[in-house]
Amino acid sequence: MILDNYAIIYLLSNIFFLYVIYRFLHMFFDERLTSRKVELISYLVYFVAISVLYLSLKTPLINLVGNLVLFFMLSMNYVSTWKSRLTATVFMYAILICIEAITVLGLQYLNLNASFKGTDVELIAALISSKILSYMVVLILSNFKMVRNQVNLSVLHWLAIFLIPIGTLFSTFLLITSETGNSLALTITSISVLFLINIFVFYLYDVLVRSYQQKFERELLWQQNEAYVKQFELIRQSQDKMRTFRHDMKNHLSVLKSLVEKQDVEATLTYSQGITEFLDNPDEYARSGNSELDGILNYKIHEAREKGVQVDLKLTIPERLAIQPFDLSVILGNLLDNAIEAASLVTAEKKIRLEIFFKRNLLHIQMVNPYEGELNQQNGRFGSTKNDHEHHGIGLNSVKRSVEKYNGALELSPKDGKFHTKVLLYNQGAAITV
Amino acid sequence: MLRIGICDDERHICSQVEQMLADIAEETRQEWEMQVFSSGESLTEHLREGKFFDVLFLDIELPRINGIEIGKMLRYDLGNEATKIVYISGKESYAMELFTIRPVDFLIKPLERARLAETMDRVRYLIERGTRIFEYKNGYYSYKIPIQEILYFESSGKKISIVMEQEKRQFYGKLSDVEAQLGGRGFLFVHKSYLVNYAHVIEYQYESVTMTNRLALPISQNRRKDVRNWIMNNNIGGDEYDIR
Repeated sequence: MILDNYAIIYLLSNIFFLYVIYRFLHMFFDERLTSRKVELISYLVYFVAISVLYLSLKTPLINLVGNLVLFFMLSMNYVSTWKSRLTATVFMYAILICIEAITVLGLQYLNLNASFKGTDVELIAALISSKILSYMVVLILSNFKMVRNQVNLSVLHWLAIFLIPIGTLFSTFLLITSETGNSLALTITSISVLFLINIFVFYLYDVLVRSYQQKFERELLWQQNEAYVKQFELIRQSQDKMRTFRHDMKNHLSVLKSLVEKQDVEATLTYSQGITEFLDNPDEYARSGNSELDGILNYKIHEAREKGVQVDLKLTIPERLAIQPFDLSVILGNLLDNAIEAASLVTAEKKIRLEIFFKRNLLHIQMVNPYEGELNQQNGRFGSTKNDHEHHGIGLNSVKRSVEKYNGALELSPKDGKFHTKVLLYNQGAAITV
Repeated sequence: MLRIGICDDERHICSQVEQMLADIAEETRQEWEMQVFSSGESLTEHLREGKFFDVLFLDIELPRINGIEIGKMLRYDLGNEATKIVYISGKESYAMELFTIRPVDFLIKPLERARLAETMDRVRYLIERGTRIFEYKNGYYSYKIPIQEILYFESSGKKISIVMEQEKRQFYGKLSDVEAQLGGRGFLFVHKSYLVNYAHVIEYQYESVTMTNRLALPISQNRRKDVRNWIMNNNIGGDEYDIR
């Protein structure tokens, strides 16, 4: 009878626990890879599997391994890297097992069963209160928002973070299962200390991710700065040229006049072509008058040329846009980086077609670049073929974030051996984002 | 037959455009009637007198009355949405005002014939789409309206209103039938009760579209993403392409 009651309470509390796990995972991952239906089914499978495991076997080790495996499988519902998945799984379980151990042992310490004969009040109370506590902890941890950014940590940084919850799981498990005759109070204290360490390391993990992000943004700002400097240089150069040209205008005109008088059509055309070429600045590809956008485009196209990649640019945009230059830089800089890299690796014609146009309050960016080899489809995303570059994932993530600020859309698709990129942005001030 | 106006203060640009267009017309077996204006004043005078052009090639940097002012006059003073404007300029930088006039294209001097032919292809497509006829029945009578005069269809109950620039007409029917009749060309469902002609959209927002009569129609919450992705993938940004 007691077991039945107990089982019912276990199952009920587990439903609530399912929600806690859901919240936990959504703290780490913000984008589903599977449909809502598959997500729901996977949680139900988890619920059934863990309940059966727990109620039928009651072996702590199997319970531990079962939970870790199942958590990891739940994390497959979301877009992420295997490193982040492992970290999330282990952290989640380390924190949850600490809470459970503390409540169970704490209630044992209070010795509630002494006052209630016949029922295992402690166990029932532990079941319920550990779930409530877990929920509260999740709520508190939800304040760390950076962890959900898919940053590819360096292996050493990741190991440093990862080993702490792993160690916690190991130690807690030993403390609960082994009968070494430690006093109850000592065990509770040890687990509480481990719990606190995990919470703080979780905080540090958050800070680490933030610093990766900041480092990346700093580099981006530096690039943008570099682009501005180059753009100023271009403007200065073309002004110099205009000055020289104005100065030489009379000479040019008299040459042309004499050529026309001699009726030398060919020489006239060659001479006027020469003037046109003189006025064209070879490093100025974008001349929309939108200096921030021209700057980043000229900078990137120059980079592309150095890698032997030709960029065919068509630019029809107004001189001023409500979209922040920073976001335009993030979007165009990263997308062009990827396109240039992919195009530079092909054996066929290394040519990127980029069209940017503005219509009815919408900014369209459309790019087509060639690529060869396998697309990196990890994370359910397309990327270039490189995998050593830690910034790559951040790059596309930043593009996405900037696009979202304007309610925009981003689409990456390989089609007929070419890679197509489309972006749509509403020309509005950026929504305030934290 | 298309009536084409060309306005540039430099005579040789006018005759160059005229010549290129004449060549393209011959190649594509079209009959185009061209009229050249060497100043903004002479063009605006003709426009005010009621002269209609299907296409206008406008230099942006005209002295006195410039291309922006002519465009504004056409769209805002005369309420003409049907004329397709193609801007010609020596520069590649454009003021925001130019975009509010909703030109079909921008051409940069020196002009290239292939580019001009491409622009005319698009212009012809848009005109063909706009001059198609929408037919509906009211009682025993059937009525016809050229598509380009329709801003949007609005349904309420069993009635559908056809909202035009000057008037509004009603008939009994279903919006989904209207959409089917239009064959998916030129119209966009932004809301279960609004089917808009995107040739008459002057501004897209994520939550709404503003029409040429200055009315902002809401895009229903569950359609916003679809509308946005549709615009992105069909490259219309207004009126450019349809699913073909």
